[in-house]
Amino acid sequence: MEAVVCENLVKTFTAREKSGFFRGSRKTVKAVDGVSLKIRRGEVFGLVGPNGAGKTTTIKILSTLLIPDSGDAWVNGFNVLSEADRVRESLGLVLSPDKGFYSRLTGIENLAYYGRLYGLDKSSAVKRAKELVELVGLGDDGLRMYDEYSLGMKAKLSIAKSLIHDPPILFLDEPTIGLDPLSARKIRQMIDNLVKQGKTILLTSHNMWEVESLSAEVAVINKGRIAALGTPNELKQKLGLVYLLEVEVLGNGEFDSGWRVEAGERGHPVIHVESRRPSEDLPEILEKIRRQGLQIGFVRVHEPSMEEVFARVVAG
Amino acid sequence: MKSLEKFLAVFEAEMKAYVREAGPLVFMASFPFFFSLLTYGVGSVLSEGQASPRDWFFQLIGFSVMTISITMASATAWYFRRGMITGRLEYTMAAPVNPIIIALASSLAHVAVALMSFIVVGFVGVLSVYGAAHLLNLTAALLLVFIALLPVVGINLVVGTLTIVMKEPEPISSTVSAVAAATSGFVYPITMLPTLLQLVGKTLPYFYVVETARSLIDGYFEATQLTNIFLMLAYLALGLAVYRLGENYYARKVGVHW
Repeated sequence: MEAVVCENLVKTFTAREKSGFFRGSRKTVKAVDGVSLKIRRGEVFGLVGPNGAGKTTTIKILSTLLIPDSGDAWVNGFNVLSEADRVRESLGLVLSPDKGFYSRLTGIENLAYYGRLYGLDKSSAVKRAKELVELVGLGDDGLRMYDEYSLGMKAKLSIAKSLIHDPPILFLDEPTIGLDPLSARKIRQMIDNLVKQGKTILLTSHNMWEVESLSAEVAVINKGRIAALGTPNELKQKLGLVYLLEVEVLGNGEFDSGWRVEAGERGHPVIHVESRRPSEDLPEILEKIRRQGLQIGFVRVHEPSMEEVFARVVAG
Repeated sequence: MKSLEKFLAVFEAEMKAYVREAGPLVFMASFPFFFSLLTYGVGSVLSEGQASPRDWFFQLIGFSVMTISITMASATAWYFRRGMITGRLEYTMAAPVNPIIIALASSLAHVAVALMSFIVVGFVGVLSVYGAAHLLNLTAALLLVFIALLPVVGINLVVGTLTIVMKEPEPISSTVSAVAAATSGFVYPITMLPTLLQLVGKTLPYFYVVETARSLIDGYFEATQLTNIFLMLAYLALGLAVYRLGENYYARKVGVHW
């Protein structure tokens, strides 16, 4: 059974447009337009798309914060409309890494507050809050007021909040946004560990490398619709993205390859080949060089990135 | 039991956040003294020394209830606005909690803080004017003022719902506070107002809060006042219903992000 299923979700909002002091009109904006997804248990599912594409709206529908105009969705087997409380019990949510807490409460007090909202008694909530503060690396900072936290500390507390009732499913909406590289790396390590513990994670991010390195499957959403869906490799193949192979050739002899050759940084010729099947093309190139009695300086394989997938799907 | 635990979680968090921000408490406890002394002084001059300490006490209680009413309306509106800005409201709505529990717990925390300031004001006022023997009356007044403030919670929940819808906390809470201040007999007897405004004042719960406090401490409390207080509890039911409807039919359709 899938952890999350949604079928044909549609959500529209009414936007106000002003022209002058009082004159204005209303415009209907379709934020989500027929989104269908299935997320397997124990995996990270990446949901990427440009700003305003419908990622957060989809997450808010799945977390029962918004009621869809049409379509249906199930989280952990429970319907988001008719079994909303069971859905809420099943998932942990990070909507923004730097929001959601009482500024005049400490990290532990904030976590305990949410723990009690999720049904823990006070002593269990405080105990769990202290465990989570250690788990996410906040340590003694758990006793500091939230308004003294740095962005990285707030992000860690958000992850801890999402785990307070030990849910099987987590929705993490841009959990590393605005974080420095080290803090972002810690959050990614946390996500990786959570998946190893069997959690299912729906992750959105604008960091394509992050999505690619963490996600088993990725959906690209654009203008409210799922524009592409598959594993990162499947998406690259579907879009016909090519690998770039670079081979530096050493030696004094004349080199006749038929490939594009340019002078490299070290002054030696470097072969540049675009390939869809690098595992077949690369041995052929190396063999040809050897047959001509030349040596190989270096070999580089540039893999097409999720950023290229994103650009191709969104920009066309 | 789980509902009680959730109620206490919100109540405790709100109380801690409130008490750690000392400003509203200091305002609620100090404002009535300064303004009642001002009006008492002016009254003494105008009446050529006829104003009695009892008149000052009536002003003190009036200003205290007025300050409490204004602060409670503002606190509720800001509870929702802050909740929207900080994303706390979304997280609360995403938790398996009945929204009525959240609304009631946060509102009652505001009432509890209001009563803390009322204790300070009432204690000083009663000791100065009536003496220690009347402190028992103050205790009884505290209990009934708590009940009389519950309808105010109801009105504030409507203010909170409108804050979510209109995304403007100050104009809404300030308008409610202005109407309450003008029509509820906080500073002058309600009988001095035009009939229409008297009617407005007697339809709203604020008049009964201040009348309950004054009459219980002074010793002229009547049973009909009790009936009025309980009738006013309809505002609490109305407020809870409006908030529930607002969350179900607005907040979850449009969202509560700022």
